[in-house]
Amino acid sequence: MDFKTFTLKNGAKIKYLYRDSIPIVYLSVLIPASPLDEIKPSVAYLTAHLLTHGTKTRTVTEIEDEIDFFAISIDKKITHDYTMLTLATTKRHLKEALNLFFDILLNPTFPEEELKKELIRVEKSLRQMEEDPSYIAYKNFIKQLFDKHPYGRAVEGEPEELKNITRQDIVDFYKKFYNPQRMIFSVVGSLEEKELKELIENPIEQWQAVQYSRNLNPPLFKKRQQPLKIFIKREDLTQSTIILGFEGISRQDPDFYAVSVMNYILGGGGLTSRLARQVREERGLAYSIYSTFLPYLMPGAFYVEVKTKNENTQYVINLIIEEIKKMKNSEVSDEELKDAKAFLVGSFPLRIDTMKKISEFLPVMDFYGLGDDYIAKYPEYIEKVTKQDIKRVAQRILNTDGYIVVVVGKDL
Amino acid sequence: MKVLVISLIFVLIFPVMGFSEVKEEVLKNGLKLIFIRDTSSAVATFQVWYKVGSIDEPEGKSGISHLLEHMMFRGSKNYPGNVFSKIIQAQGGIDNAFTTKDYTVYFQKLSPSKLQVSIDLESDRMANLLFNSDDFELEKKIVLEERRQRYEDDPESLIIEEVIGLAFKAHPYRKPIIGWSDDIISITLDDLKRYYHEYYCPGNAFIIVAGDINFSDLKEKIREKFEKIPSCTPSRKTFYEPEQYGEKRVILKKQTHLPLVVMAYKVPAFPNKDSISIEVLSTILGEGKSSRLYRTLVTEKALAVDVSTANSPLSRDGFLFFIIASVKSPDKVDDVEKIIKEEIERIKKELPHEKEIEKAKNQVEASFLFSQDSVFGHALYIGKFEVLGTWKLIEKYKEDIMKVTAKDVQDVANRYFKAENLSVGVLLPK
Repeated sequence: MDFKTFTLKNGAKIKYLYRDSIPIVYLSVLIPASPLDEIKPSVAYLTAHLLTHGTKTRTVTEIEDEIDFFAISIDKKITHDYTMLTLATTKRHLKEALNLFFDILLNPTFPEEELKKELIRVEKSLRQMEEDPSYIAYKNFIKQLFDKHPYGRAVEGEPEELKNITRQDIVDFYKKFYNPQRMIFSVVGSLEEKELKELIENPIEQWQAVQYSRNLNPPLFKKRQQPLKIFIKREDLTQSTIILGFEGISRQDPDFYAVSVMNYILGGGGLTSRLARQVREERGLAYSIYSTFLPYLMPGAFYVEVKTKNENTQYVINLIIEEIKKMKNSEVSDEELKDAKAFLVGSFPLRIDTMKKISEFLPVMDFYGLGDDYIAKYPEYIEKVTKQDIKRVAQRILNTDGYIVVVVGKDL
Repeated sequence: MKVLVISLIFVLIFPVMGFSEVKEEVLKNGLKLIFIRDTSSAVATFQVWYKVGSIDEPEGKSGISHLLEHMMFRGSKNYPGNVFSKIIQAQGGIDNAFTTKDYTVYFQKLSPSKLQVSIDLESDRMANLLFNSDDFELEKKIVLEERRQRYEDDPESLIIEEVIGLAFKAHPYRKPIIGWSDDIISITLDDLKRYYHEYYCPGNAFIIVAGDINFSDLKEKIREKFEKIPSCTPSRKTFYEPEQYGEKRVILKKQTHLPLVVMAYKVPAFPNKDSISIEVLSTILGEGKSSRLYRTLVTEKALAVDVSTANSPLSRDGFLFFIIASVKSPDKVDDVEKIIKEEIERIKKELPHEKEIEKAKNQVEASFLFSQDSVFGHALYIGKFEVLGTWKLIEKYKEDIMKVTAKDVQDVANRYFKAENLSVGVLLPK
């Protein structure tokens, strides 16, 4: 992919790709600020969300009016490792959109009134999320796995702790972490390089950087000799939601690619994975079952999620454990390995098949230090994985002794 | 004056937003092929659309379209067993399908160089689906699990299902796409076979291929596999809905933190011009944080956590205009409903502002452009119009949108937003 990288005087980077097939433009910015940097839960989330609630020259109402009138969108995504904003606009309204976007990014005022309203909204929405069995299961799982580490809570925070947050917390967080020194921008779309300099580089470059670093602590994982079983009773549910998992790996882990292939074969490969075959295709016990892993800056989780009719709960848990053991005890077949590699390599373009996806992918690639040649190199990384590698990483990661299993349902 | 200038620019701009390049071709057996040349990504999409959905289902067999969709992944004559997804994935592609009230779509996303695989697999399952009875029983169980997951244990989906069921007394849109559990259980393998033979054939389908493709080369490859499949003429029922005499209401008590108010007005579908004015009305009332309902209920009065509207003009028959509000607490439900009705009455009496009409048009333009950012989305957008007769209706749709006036919006509010068209659902915490 023929994108360019510019590094500005204040340290900010811009990844740029010209595309003129449709008159639209995406601008993303990755801000290395997340729950990892919080003193109080939810501050990273609230800071990002309050950006559009008032600037030095615009009220919240004016901002909302402009967004809707020019049909602009500003997505805010807060992950456990970073915050990302993505602006989408038609070329016709590019100037208005950029003007607004840089205003909210550089001049937010975080009005007290707006913080109060937002706290109520977040509290209500968290309470509602806590009615969702998948959310309950996941919340309990990560809490056990990560304990007090920020990876162990939802980025939105916890409803009980919201009342302690003050405007000053938000202002301080913004001042320290919304800093061009480490921001990674990307611009994809119908915009010439000359315009890029005038319309985008200039406003970013005028922004003064302040030296800072993130103080990151890795999670401490408990060594468990036996499974930890958690049951959360919900009389009203017709299905049990099961999450079974353990410690995974970080994005920088040298085993990342072997784990990717192993996970695809175990439960990451949709209807064709071993878990889907056993639980869904051959027994009709669930509509969906999958395994996944969260490769953060520091080790994240590896888990399986499934929903099944109450009476099948234990049976499905046994089937999952059986499949996990099989993965540890014997090598995968040649066909499985070949198919998994063919899929992972062949489907890579699907991960960047729209301008929006490219715009969000380029900064992430840079953030995790994957290199500007990552897209070209990816097939090679996957092709290198052997059957022995898969068995080795299965034995390293898949924890059949000390796993955590959470069940949300009527009974066990 | 400024508004006028914007309108002129808009009229000038829309015509140049033509599609990259779209061509159509009809095979001898009636199968229409639509090709979209789109070189913006390394991925192509192959989509087979069958013009059959829950609207066509026989009484007592709700969910049969969706169940058949599941069976389409359980093997065909030349590809027995559930190997369909496995073959596609081993080519680096992904595949899936979805059923709606009006149509059923099977699709793959894969490299343009692998399109032959889609052609081979899709033609075989259009002509030669195997109906293995063990697989059929398994798929029924899977669909029942799907229903539990998506409806039984999800009160927000359930209240919407209840409202739709209440709004229509006779019209088949009252049935849930996934089907009612007892109906799903009662469907037999013979029912499924009959349904497949009645609706799954070239004359009731069309294919869309989008991506960096060569039209003539692809046309020959598709012709070779699809043209020999015999066609059919599916029976089409005439739909009707008896007159409604007053507002209808359903109250559902389930475990939830936030109550939900769902209001649904029966409205016409495109190409009826009113459906387009209703689209504009939808933006004014409930799309975005600057919309009237959001401003009043969420921003100013703080009675709701969220509110939005949804219209589906591209339906085969008139469907529903939804207003959905998440209410802060159960004691605010009546206030919220009252305020929504007041806002509707206001539109009936006072013309909406020109700026609001302009905003709606800007949003339509943007969603039209952004739908082309993905090859897959681009194809879907075109397919939805083809279901209504021809994808070329897009031109009419764009023209009609541009012509909508404040008066039109007021007129449709008066014509459709009345008690005799309204069904209300309220979800309350148990």
